[in-house]
Amino acid sequence: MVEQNFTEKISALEFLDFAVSFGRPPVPFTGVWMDKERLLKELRRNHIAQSAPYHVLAKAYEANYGNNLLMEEIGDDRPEMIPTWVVVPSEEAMGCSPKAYVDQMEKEGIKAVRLFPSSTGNPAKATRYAFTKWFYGDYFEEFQRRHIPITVEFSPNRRDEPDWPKLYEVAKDFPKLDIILADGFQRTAWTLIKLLRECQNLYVQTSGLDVHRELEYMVNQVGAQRFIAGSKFPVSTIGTMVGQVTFANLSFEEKKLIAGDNARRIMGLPIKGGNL
Amino acid sequence: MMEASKKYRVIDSHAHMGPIWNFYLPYNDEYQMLDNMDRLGVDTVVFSSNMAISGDPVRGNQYTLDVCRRHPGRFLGQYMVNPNYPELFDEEVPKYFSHKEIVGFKVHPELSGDYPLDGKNYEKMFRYASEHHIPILSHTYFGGDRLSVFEELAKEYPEAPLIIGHGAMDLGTGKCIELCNRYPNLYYDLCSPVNKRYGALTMVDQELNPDKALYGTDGPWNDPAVSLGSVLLSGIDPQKLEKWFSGNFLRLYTRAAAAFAD
Repeated sequence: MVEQNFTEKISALEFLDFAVSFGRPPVPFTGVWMDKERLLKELRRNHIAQSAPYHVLAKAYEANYGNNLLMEEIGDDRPEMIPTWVVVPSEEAMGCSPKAYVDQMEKEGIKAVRLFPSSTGNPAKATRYAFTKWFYGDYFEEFQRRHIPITVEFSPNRRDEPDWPKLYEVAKDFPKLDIILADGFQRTAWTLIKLLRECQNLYVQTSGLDVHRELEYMVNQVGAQRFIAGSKFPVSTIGTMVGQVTFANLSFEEKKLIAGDNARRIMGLPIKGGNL
Repeated sequence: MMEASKKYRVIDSHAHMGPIWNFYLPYNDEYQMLDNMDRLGVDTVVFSSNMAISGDPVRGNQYTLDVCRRHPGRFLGQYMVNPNYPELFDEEVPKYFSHKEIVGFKVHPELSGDYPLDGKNYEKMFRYASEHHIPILSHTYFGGDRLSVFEELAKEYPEAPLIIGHGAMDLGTGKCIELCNRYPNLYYDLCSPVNKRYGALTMVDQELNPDKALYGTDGPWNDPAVSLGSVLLSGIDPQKLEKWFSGNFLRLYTRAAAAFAD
């Protein structure tokens, strides 16, 4: 039998959902979208301590526009909400130098950035630019220098694979830059393990690991410090993330790292103690 | 508001077992899956073996039966019909369904060489299912047949319960729900990924006849913990969850009662 109520276990893990968004998209996935209030309500209902949202329009419309809207709408809901910005890593796209961009980030308290570069599989959905050092190098140097973690999310079709050589290349070119790999890593355990062992600055968001006991398996291979809990709500439910971490065959300490403390650590945020 | 101590009997009605050829499935054997079931509190998993689907169907279906007999009540089997071997049907099907552990049919038209569900080599299965009221679970989702095919088959074989695998998520959740509501013999496979998608789960809750959804996870192709967390924390009415988790399965899969009786 499965017990419905496990809120105590969830609360003890102090989840920080690293992959949530709000805002009205052009095509709401399966017909739903969230404004900030409804997002907060759903996070609280699921006993999620914090989240790191981005604005949908920063991805779906224009990065600066959406980032500014995020700041307006988040308002005073910090630190429960930790705003993250979307970036297209070029001066032409962002309208400023990398230094000026990160200066602004620091002024606004932005702790991480997200990239949505196109993949070979689905350029219609993602932002088209060359994911290569001669394009992003100056921005990534600045992020690395100032300890700003980045999330890279391709938009793969269901059976696409990530561009492994590019992921290896970016991790090796910027060994002190914390890079979180978002989705598209289902069914790629063989390769992902080797990549994570080779590149200690790579992390994986839990939403991208979804075969049988995969989180447990990957932790046993490379350690719990490498995984960041993220639900991708409102595309996926928040319960997907909570179930994946809470029910995993891992120690409480490992789960707590994955649930939120790894994200807090790489964003330079305070980590509270916790107990079961 | 969730009840403080509500417990559910959970029957995962759509699962598999064993390795697959083109990517790694951790902990995919019967003992490792059972270990996971015990930890999650899942009572029973109903599966077709990966060998039967994308390997040798004869060995694969035998493996399914053997596992079920080793773990009475914990695993139940679905006989995988491979339309590329039509000669096997008459030889094997009566034999398999003489065992109480085999409770349904599974088909995967896409992995059977894109053989259409309304193709000639599935006709015996539909007639057998009609005669014996045996549910057929058919894969959809980025491969397989259009919803119009399911509709035509539902009309042609009204006595054969047909479960639309993965809720035909890429073909239109709303349309799939509409068909399941309209045809008494069409059922909705509330399996990954549809049970993980907020909008789809919301739509199923609000629009589908509550007697028509059957919970599944597609484990080990997907992580059962993810699906379980998603549905448990959905905030959906507990009485409805009870139907999804086991009530609808027990009502539909009438053969399962004999397997649970032991």
